[in-house]
Amino acid sequence: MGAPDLGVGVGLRIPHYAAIFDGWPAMDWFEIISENFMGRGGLPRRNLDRALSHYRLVQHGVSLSIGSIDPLDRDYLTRLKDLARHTQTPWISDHLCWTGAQGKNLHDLLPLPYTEEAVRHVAERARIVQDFLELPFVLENVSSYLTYTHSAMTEWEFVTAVCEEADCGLLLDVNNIYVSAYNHGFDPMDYVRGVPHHRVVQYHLAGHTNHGRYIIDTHSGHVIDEVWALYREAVKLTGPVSTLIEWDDDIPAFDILAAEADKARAARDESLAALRTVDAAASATTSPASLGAAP
Amino acid sequence: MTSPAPVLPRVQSFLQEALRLPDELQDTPSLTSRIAEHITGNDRLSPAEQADLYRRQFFLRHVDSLRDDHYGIAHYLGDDAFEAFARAYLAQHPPRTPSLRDLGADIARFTDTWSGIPAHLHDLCLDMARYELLFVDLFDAPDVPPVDAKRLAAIPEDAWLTRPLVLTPLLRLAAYRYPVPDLRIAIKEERAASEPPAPEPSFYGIFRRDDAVCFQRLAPEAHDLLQLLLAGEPLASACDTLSRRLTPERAAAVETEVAGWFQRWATWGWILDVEHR
Repeated sequence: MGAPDLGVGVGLRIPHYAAIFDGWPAMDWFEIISENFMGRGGLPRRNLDRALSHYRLVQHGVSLSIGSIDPLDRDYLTRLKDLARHTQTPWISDHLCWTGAQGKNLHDLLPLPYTEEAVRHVAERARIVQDFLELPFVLENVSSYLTYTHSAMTEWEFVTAVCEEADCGLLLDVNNIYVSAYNHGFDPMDYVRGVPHHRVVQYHLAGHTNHGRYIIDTHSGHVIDEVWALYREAVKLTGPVSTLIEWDDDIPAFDILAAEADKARAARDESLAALRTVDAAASATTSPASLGAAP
Repeated sequence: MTSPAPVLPRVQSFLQEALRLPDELQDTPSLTSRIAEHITGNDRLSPAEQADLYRRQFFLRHVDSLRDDHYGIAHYLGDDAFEAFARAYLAQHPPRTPSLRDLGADIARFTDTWSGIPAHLHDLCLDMARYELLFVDLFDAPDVPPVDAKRLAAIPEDAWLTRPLVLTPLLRLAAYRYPVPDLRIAIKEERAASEPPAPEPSFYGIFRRDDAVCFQRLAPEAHDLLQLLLAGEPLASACDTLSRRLTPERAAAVETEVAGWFQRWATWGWILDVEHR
């Protein structure tokens, strides 16, 4: 997709403002929730500008409702684009979901039925959004707690079809894959292998809350080992891709969040090193010398 | 060959209503078969239980959001009554915009008419609702360029009296039956009594300065004079209008206070300019 690899970042959250604005800790980049800064002025805009003065920011939205049957909200899109001009975000992401319908907003990331109808509906709207924003548009796979009787394909087939038909990027949330795999009983590695790796523009990693019969994607706590393992495998398939740690509930001190980002950086480096070793070996076995070609 | 009937409108239309229902979906027999038309369930959760995870989140998220913005109302109603208040509000005024910031937009009107608020708390909660809405509005209202002191100094003295004043758009005037801005600060600092205070008619200038929403308590006449200025009446004329409304004794007292008020309003950044012809 040609998106830059920004390294490893974390979400910009209010409880960390003091630590960030007082000490300007090293961080490759921050992700902001677009809707938190689409207001008109005041403190949110001031804090945004302070962050922008030291860091690369990337916009991530929660309210676009790309899968809704309601018309796209032009006012929302205009304000999103205005903010993007201000932040110089390299891409804009939101979720492959619907958040409301018939004028009512549930403010939740509801899954779509995995059907051809939904693919066409979302892809057409994603193309319109991408054209309007004049920036790469990236869709994130959501975690889900229900499955539809209408679905006619797997989630990763659906994600792939939408991204291909819309010609947009994919924000691969590895924790969401794990959560949905647990809730719906599929192998998360099938998902990781099944998505279009060349379209992955960004990763999300987060913790969750396991209630036994189901998992809720709470973005609380550390990333669990199983999700780290999925992430390592995913990076081997996609190569270096910008990665972000999300932590939105029971938010810890900034140092703890930064340590989680360091852990992601180490996991990423490990996978990329393994990838280089495999590439080198492959190149050695297919080089003219190894094939016994004449000098 | 005919195309299959669209599924998306049916699914979204059904769920946007079902996920806002007050009762647990698995306990609503009339709904369970309709839910099963759309949702599969699994060996751990029934279709209704799967959908109910989203329904519970709807109320958790929105009641919490209302509590964050309206903790003054919540303080006087108490936790359980506020939960009932918020759920009734969401039923009457479902969220309609992408931002949770707008969630409470109708809360003053709702507070005024909802029968669940005890009579002795009605006026206090209504005042608080109005103040809390004003607070949300001012918090991220469009920025205003800083006052240009040089420009102000160059304005001829008589112009201050004879031309309409330009007041900051980040100023709101409010008259309450209870001193709700002061009460809300006390609630935030955990020093407010849980019992409602006695009524105390109060007048305020509520404004944003250095990115913080602030308030200043005003004399009733200062509040009225500011209202006249905001309506575009020049200072001298507004003072005359105000005097005619007051007893001669009070009018004389106010006359001695106006210069001090004006100075303080300028210090608080309320006065930006005079209108230039």
